[in-house]
Amino acid sequence: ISERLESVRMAGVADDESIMKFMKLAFIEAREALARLEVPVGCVIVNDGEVIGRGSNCTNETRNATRHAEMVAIDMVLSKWQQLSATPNVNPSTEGFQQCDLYVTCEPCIMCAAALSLSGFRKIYYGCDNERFGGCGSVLDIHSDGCAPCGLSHNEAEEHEEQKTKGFECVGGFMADEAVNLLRGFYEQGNQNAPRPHRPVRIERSL
Amino acid sequence: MVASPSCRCILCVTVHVLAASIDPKLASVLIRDLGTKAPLTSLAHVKRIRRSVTEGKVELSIILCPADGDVSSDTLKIPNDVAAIVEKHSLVPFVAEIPAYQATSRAEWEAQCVFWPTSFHPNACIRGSKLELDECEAETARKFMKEAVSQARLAHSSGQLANGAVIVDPFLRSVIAWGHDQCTSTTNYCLEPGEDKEKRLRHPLRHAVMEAISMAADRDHLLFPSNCTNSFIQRPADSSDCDAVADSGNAAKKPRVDLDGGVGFNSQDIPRPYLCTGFDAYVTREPCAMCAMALVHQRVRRVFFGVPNTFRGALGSKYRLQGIRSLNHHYTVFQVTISESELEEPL
Ligand SMILES: [Zn+2]
Ligand SMILES: [Zn+2]
Repeated sequence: ISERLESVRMAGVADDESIMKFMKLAFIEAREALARLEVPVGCVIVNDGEVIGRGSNCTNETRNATRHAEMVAIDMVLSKWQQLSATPNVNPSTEGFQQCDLYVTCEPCIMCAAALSLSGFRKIYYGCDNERFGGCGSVLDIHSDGCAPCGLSHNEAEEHEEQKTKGFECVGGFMADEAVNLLRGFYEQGNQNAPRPHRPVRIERSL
Repeated sequence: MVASPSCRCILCVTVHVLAASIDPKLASVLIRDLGTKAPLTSLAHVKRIRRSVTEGKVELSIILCPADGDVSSDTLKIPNDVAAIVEKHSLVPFVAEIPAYQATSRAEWEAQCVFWPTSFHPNACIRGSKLELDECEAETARKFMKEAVSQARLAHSSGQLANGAVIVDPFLRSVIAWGHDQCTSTTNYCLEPGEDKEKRLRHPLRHAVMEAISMAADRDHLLFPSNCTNSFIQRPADSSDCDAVADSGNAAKKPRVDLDGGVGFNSQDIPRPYLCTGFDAYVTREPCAMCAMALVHQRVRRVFFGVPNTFRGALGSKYRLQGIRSLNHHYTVFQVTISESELEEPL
């Protein structure tokens, strides 16, 4: 009986070994982004011990600065579910994210943290902190505040505030050094697509 | 270098200066030297030194002197006294934008400090908030907001949440991308042979703003197929000219181009912008945190929203994203009054 209880308990909570297994898969995604000269951040979406979605940053290629790893992975899972929903007798829904965890190499930014709340994720595991943009505690606490659709009318928002703003659990610090090194390597070589914020200028004496 | 003294948005009116990062140990010496040799007489409200913290490291930058000449060129003239100081300490000057006018309210002050720290004296001058648009700008804003409202109505008529967005290029004075809420998509499928059923799979992230950004990115690909990044040139309208939308007096300088989905448009006439740099976004409702941050990522210049979202709005209601200093981009936010009911009117 105790053995069964143990396995029931473990089904809900990932153990250290499986966390590291999925984090490593997220890093494979991040390194693929780097190879494509994109900001090296990667993630995987896990449902019931199985990877059902993956993604890495592709903002330069798409010229869409919202194509962060998390957004790419969420879209991948949703389009899979969309296809499944076309098959008879299968009824997946976005509620499905409530059984999903996301493993990402860097703390989700404010946008992605809000997207994870809007999608209803269960738990997020991340690598390094995102000090300037992080939405899971570094800059804002979107993970505990939750986010609601901006299309909700005032009355709808008032009625449904509780249901519409779902927070999620999150825990960081997994392979943080490796994540920082990846990002540092990228920024040292320079994001070729971004204009340099401080363009040095030559000066010439007047008079 | 002041863009337009008649401009009402003090946050947009900036002047260019030459600045340089400095060793904190040099701060007091440089403040004294530059204070006597290049006093900032017309910019008394601006603090000479900016302190910023990146990755735990304190960085100081100092204003050397006003930038004289074309700031987009690689070489700028500089007074001899200042040049001597630059050479003595091996400084590397860069062009910075600083607020041209003193803030008249605490909110304005907080917002302008994002660019460069300024001082604020609450009782020094009491005028109306300059963040209000003047009649001409307001009219332009209402015109583009109407386009966003049509998008909201389109959403509502197809069973979506009534929210719409458009992205405007003020240089071309035209809507370059649009979108409406599409969180609920409808697909027809066969449940059992011969039986048609409607089935809905939600996509919780397809908010109006995200749709418009995605379309703007597609347009960029269409107009500028080459991925060559050195084609990026900062267009003059980006830097300081905040009222390109309303400034009809300058119409002669600005080519009018009608974009029919990019067909027949000669993209060589216009430099490729970086993302949505210089563009304005009009959204019928105050954006949520996801959409507000998406607009930061995509680097829009100004955001106009209609109905406030008192619960989760991220541009003043719940959060104030435009004032978060650690972010790498800051847009100016305006509100255009529209009623919630007009978003749900039939098309
Ligand atoms: Zn993100
Ligand atoms: Zn939104």
